[in-house]
Amino acid sequence: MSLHQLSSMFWRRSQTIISRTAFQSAAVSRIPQPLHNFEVSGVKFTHGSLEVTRGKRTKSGGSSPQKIRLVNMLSLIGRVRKAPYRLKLSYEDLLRHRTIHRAWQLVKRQERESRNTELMTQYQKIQVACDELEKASPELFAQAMDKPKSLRFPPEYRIPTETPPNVSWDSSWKKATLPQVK
Amino acid sequence: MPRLPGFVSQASRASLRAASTATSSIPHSASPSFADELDPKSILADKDLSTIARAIGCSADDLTAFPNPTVPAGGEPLITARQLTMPAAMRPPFLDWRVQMKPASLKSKKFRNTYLSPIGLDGAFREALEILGKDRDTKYVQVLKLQSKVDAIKAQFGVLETNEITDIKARSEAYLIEVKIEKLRILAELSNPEVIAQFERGRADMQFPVYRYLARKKWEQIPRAQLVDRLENMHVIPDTMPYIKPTVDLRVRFPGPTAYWFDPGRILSTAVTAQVPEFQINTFEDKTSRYTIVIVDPDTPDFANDSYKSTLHYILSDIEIHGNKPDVDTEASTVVVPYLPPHPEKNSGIHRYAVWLFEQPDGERLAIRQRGSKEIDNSKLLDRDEFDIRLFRSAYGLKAVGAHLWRNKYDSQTEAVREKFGLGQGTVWSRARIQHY
Amino acid sequence: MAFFKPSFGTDLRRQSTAFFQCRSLHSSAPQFKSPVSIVHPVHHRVRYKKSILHPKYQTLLTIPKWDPRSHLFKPQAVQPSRVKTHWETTLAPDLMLANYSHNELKLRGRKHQEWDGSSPYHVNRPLRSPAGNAMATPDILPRTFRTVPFVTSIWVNTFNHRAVTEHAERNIPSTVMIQQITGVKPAPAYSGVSIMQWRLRKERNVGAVVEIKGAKKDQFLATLVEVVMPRVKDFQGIANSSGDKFGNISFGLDPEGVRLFPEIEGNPDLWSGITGLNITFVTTAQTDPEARLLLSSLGVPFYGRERFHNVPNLDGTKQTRKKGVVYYENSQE
Repeated sequence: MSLHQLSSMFWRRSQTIISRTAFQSAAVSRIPQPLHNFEVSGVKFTHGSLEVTRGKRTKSGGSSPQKIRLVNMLSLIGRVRKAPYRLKLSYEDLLRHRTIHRAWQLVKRQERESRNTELMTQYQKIQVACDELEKASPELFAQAMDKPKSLRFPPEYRIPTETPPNVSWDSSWKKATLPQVK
Repeated sequence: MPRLPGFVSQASRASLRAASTATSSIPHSASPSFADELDPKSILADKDLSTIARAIGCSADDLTAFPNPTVPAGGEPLITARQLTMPAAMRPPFLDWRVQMKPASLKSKKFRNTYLSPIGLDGAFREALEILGKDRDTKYVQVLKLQSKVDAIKAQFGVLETNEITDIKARSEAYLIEVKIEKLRILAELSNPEVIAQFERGRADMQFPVYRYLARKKWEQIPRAQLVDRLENMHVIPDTMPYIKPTVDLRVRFPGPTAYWFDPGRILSTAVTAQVPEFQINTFEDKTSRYTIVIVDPDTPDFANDSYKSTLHYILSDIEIHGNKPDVDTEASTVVVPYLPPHPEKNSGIHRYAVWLFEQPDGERLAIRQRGSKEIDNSKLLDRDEFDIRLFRSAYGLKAVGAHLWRNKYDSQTEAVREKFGLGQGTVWSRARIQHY
Repeated sequence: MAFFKPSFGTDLRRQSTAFFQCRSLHSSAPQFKSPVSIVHPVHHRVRYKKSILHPKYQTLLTIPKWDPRSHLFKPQAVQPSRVKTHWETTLAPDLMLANYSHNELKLRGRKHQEWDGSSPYHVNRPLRSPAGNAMATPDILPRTFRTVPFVTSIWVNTFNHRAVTEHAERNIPSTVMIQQITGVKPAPAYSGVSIMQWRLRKERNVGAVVEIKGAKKDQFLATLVEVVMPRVKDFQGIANSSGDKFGNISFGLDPEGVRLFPEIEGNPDLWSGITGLNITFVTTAQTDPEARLLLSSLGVPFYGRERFHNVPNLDGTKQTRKKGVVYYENSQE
């Protein structure tokens, strides 16, 4: 079987599978097997009906290292043993799991709702403030409503990290300017 | 004594207190307990608060320390403990990590001893119970508030039941609040692991809305889909009635040593179907209403018209069903047309016997309802040979809520059935070539 | 000889309601039925999946997703998401305020139009194209707390020309590369067109494509913005003219840029033929400028002159108001 056929076979299979994230748990009643059971050479490995013997010498001098690398890569995108073994839980633990799941959902829902309520309140306050401004001073209101065409956050704006930066305060900071194309 | 987490918070304590101070014993489900000393029956029969407290895992002072939300200052309880909560469901004894160190559901001793619970599951479970318990309490507080609203409306009209309220607007308002209450009571208990455990072990008490809800969901998932699928595939609709949306679970069986609730559409022996069938009606609702069951065979050959006609086999009416008692009591009901055992004629193919369940209007007894000025020919309404089920339905003002189906064909027992019930010799159908000139 | 009756439920071709209203007893009755193919009517009013009735699938289909016994089970919330938290706590209110305009009305998009019915041939004719031969566009809803834009998913795809010119197996490294970078299983990408000069033929497997969602999307975005983009040589940012008019922004990363992903950079010898990536941010923003504002808030730089296609008041179209809805002037009905 040529590598081309092999790769197309992997594609076909990868269409049908549902890959699952590996997760750790002490509750597996069977010791999970390693996900990829390959060794570099001299090992026969099987994918369904296909058998490829690696490291076997042929007349032309065996597989090239490039080819072996490709086969190793194929094993990464193949579907075999991607998912860990199914967790076997007793009935009591399943119920516990269900309870925890529902509590988690409840907590998430409460968080989401409170966040939405907060956002809604902010929006309503914006509306009220604008109405007041319109009544008080139509000129100021017109100025406030005049939005710039292109609005951007400053380029230094970052997603916050959990740890402080290496340099706590950059005193030589100057406002960055992005190159403009004419 | 350490306290059990969750489900033992304010409302639960209050309900326990209400339960313990009630004069009559509270009816509750036959709730099993893994640990005998924690049997809720014995707990609730006992009026001593300390016993209850011991069972839950808190001190008696804890129970009395919190104000009881069900009892307003110096007044009667707005809601009884039965309505508020489920005695069996307020604590999860068999899920308790201290009572059950190893899962009892694993039958093999070897498995039980080698089984390891996932690390951290118990801690998370404890926390989850606390979170869910708080949510449950807030829901019951809402229930209490809504209940007091309904009570106020009822008191305004001086009635005990919602349907007795004379003002339409007030009645619909009360009804809407009651629907909301029902929904809240379902939601409050839906996360309760004890409830799920009871339900899955077939020990649900249909008096409680959450169990009715779970039962309905379970029925809707497969049995209802199967029923509707068979009715459609075997053309019971529209051959008998034009359409259906089943809301009630109708189950049928024939008495005998191997009686079983069969799937719709099964081909049965005529010897089996010679007996009067037994029925079960699960309404999944906490109400009392009257039903009518009609059995029709739409496959009787009609040679004169080169067609088929319907034969009426059975009409059983005024079946009173209370929400939590599904069994049909034939003796308490009215047999309008006695049961005629199926006896298909030879070579007339497979006959379908459609069982239709109708709800009688306003829970009243079966009676003809004239609509408008149009006269209905009542003489042919209950004609066995030329029965029109659609005419029957409209004449009596019925509503189709459920259905079932079985099939019969001419078999080795049919002649015996004919002889036993004096049904005479049937026609033997055969093909004949007609000359066309 | 058995009595021949019209068989029920077997011959769907011949069944209709009319058939059941006048079922005939005589044995040759089915032969006189109309032989046209009809859609069999459904009389019940219950919705269900037919597959659940098959005993083979009942266990599979009745186990919910959260149950570890389900094949769809996936552990939830295994890691916190920095990007998501940032959006929820800081960006959402900011973006809501930035996009706010007072007393905004719904802007009805350009829609396909009905024929006026002056000709009998208008029946069943496909709808007329929007006024001015414009493209049909969705409505633009007022910017409220419900329509704050966020990134729903990121599509990443790669095209490997060597898979065309040399051998299909050249596609394997780029596929693995895309999987390593994104952490999501790629799907094969096929060429949609034939280009003779490239020796490319239609429907050939020439690359891989991935849709990243959820926590992995946030991870990818953070890596891209914080690790890759600042180090790309002569990188100016994403062109301000990029976008599909409806809030989805695309850009390309050349092989040198792809080499800067930590997964590749850690072991560059392993990767022989690195290909570039096409990256598309799918957002819920209703126009491109809003999407750019959102991406800039997440640290994505932009450059060049901005394009305002499909942006009310800025794209040269005129609008009129009518009953609480704004219409394009030439598409008023």
